[in-house]
Amino acid sequence: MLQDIRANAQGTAAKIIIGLIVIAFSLFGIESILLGGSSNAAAEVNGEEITPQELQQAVNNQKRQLLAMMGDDIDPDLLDDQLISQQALQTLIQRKLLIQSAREMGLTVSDAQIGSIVANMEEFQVDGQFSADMYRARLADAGFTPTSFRMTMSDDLVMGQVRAGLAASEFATPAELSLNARILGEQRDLRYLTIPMERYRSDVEVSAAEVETYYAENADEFLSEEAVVLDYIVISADDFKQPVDEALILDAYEAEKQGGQYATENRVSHILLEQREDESAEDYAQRIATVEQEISSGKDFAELAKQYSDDIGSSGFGGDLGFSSGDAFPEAMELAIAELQVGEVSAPVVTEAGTHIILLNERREGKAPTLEEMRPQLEEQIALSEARVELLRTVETLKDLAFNAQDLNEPAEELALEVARTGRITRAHSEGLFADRVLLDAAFSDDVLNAGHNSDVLELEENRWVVLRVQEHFPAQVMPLEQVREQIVARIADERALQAVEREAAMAVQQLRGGAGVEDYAGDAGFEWQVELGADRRNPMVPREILASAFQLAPPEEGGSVVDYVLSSGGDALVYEVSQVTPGELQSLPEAERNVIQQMVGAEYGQLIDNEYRQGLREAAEINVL
Amino acid sequence: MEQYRTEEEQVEALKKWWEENGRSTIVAVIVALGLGFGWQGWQKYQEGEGESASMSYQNMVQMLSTGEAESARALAEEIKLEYSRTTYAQFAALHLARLAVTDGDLATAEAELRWVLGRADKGSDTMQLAQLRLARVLAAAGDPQQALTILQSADPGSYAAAYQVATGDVLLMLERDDEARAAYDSALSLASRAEGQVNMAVLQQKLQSLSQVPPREIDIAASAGESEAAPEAPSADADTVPGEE
Repeated sequence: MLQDIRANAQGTAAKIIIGLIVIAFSLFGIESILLGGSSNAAAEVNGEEITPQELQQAVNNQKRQLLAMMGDDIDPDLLDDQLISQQALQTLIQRKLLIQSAREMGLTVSDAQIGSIVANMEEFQVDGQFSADMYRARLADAGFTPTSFRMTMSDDLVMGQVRAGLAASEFATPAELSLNARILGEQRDLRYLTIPMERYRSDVEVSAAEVETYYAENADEFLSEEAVVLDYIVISADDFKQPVDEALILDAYEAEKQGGQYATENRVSHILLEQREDESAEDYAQRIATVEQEISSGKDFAELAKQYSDDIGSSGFGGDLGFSSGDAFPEAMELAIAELQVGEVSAPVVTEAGTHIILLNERREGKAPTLEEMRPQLEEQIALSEARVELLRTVETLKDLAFNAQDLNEPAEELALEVARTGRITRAHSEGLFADRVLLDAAFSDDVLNAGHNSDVLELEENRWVVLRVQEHFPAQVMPLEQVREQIVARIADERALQAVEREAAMAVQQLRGGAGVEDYAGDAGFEWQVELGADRRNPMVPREILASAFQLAPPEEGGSVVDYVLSSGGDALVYEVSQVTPGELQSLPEAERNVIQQMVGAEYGQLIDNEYRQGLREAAEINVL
Repeated sequence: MEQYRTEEEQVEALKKWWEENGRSTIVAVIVALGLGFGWQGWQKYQEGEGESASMSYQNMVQMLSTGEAESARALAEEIKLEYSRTTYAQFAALHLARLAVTDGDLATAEAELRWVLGRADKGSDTMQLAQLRLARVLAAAGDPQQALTILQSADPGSYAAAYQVATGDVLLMLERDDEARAAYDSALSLASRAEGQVNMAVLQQKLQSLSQVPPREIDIAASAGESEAAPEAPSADADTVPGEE
């Protein structure tokens, strides 16, 4: 066959095929052929991938935010990876779309521009100056590299530019303002009286028979709360603590003493002499000798350091190098320092840097606590770390046993643990061990509550584990009549009173429509009444129920009025009269009010446009969630 | 293809070919290189232009946010002039239009919006928004009829809800209340299809004022005896009213 191909390779057809291959490579690059089809992306947005790493980072960020927002007693359901992952993916897709759209519009940000923004960000400044160290540290904290941070900044900037260009250039025309002012600034004269429910409640008598009927008809409204009694085993590291071997304590004490925190610290100054390039060995030696001589003649070390030292970092400060606990300087120096008494000057010490002459200024003797002082702490540490090993081993066994056993007694016997029993516990239990959401969720989970299995062995805080099962289940059931009698009487009384109030309200409305004045009628019947002339939709004096209802009514004819009533959330009837309706007039509104309207109209358009822009991108996009 | 017997023949043939085609080959190569570098240069130039435009635009946005309207206006004019082919120029013009509307200078606003329409690609976001805003400005300038024509004949693209809000406003100016209500209604339902939450309080109040109801009917003669309150009335607390016994 190869022969055939060779023979035909000269033919026109072959040339065309080779030509096509060449074009394919040159147009799409070799990557597309080598890498195509082997993607493991989390999603594809218009052909651009969202990698699993990106997704994971977004999930982590979201978790961190949730924790920061809700603190430690967050509902663990909220931290469900599956759920967060889905939200995070949607957010990433949205972001990708916005970025793609911005790039398509030709929006771009130069590195210089990002640089100048970064340089002015307070987060990266120390004493008002940009600090490269701070920059790197902050980025590393947030999981960025400088490159990925620049990319993110650039993306954020272009997205902001689109927003600023499309949505933030929204406005409200004068015509729209007066249109909206006409409605938002509309004023109505309101007179209203209040028929209080309380007045009718007191005369209601409820008979025993009525209570029983109500109880029978509405039984499902009087359910007790579902509860369980639990058997449980709790084990903690404390249960496994053993007396500690004396030898271990001694070892730990020795290790502790060796640790850096009790080391002796020395504060030293030095004069450094470096051999200069054009300096002969003799001259150099001579220079060292001069300094030594000056010192032995009793001259001030600080003065000499200033005069002779080649260490420009310390010479201005009398040669001071600060404290070392034995590991800050080269070994030769540390050895010499250890030999010195305070105030004594060393012989010349040679290191890679040059020749040092060292003065010991101050010595802080490291003093380790005695064994007896440390004993309780060390004993506790060792006991706990040994107990933890034992605990985890027991937890593993318990997991197996509890999974296979029909109850908790069997595993408990096998491991010599105790089974405890709770009192009645509801889903809202809030005291003691079982206030823990993890335990409550497990206790009321389908597997434990309905299937009757043992729960998983659940980790509470560090070193504490619990396994539980439902010993007895009290489903929600209808409470006995005696327990709810008062409640029922109150409800029936409320309903009756409400009917009475509405009857009274209807009567009042009819009287008022017949021509009675609100003031007179209220005065005669002993109701409270109010007048609010020129109330607008946001009037703070008039009850909200009246505003909502009164502004919905068709306006009365010129000189006339309309009357209606509305019930307040407390059950009072509010009977009101609308007598004069004045459309809002932009010019007559106070300046502040006018600005509010302008703000509202522009902002509503802006929001709407921003939203439709995003929606538009989403609808036009090809999105594959893989 | 011809077959050559010896190397000399091959060399001879090559030489001959070069004499015939050499000049045009060199020209072709030079032209190809020239085109390549030219294209690259053009791309570089465009990128550079985009970056400078971006910088100026960012400054303009900054000025607007700190209330330096006059400097922002000057900078926007400069962006329009210097980088007229970029989207930044269109954004700048949209902001000039906004500033003009706020000052009540509708003629300038119209000119800026028409400038955007003259440069924006068909179907682009800037084009659809400039068109919408042009209609609104025309309506404000006293020509609601033309505004309506634009709004109803143009393709709103992604911005169907915003177009309906504007349509409703224009119809309301023309006192065609029923049509306005229909437009507002459709704006609300279009807006709710998007995932994000939009607070449409203004629209809802306009809608409410267009859907006013008569007060409930009360006939005490029929209901005086027993507990009867007209139920079809608009009551904020209708749910709490118990059924009759």
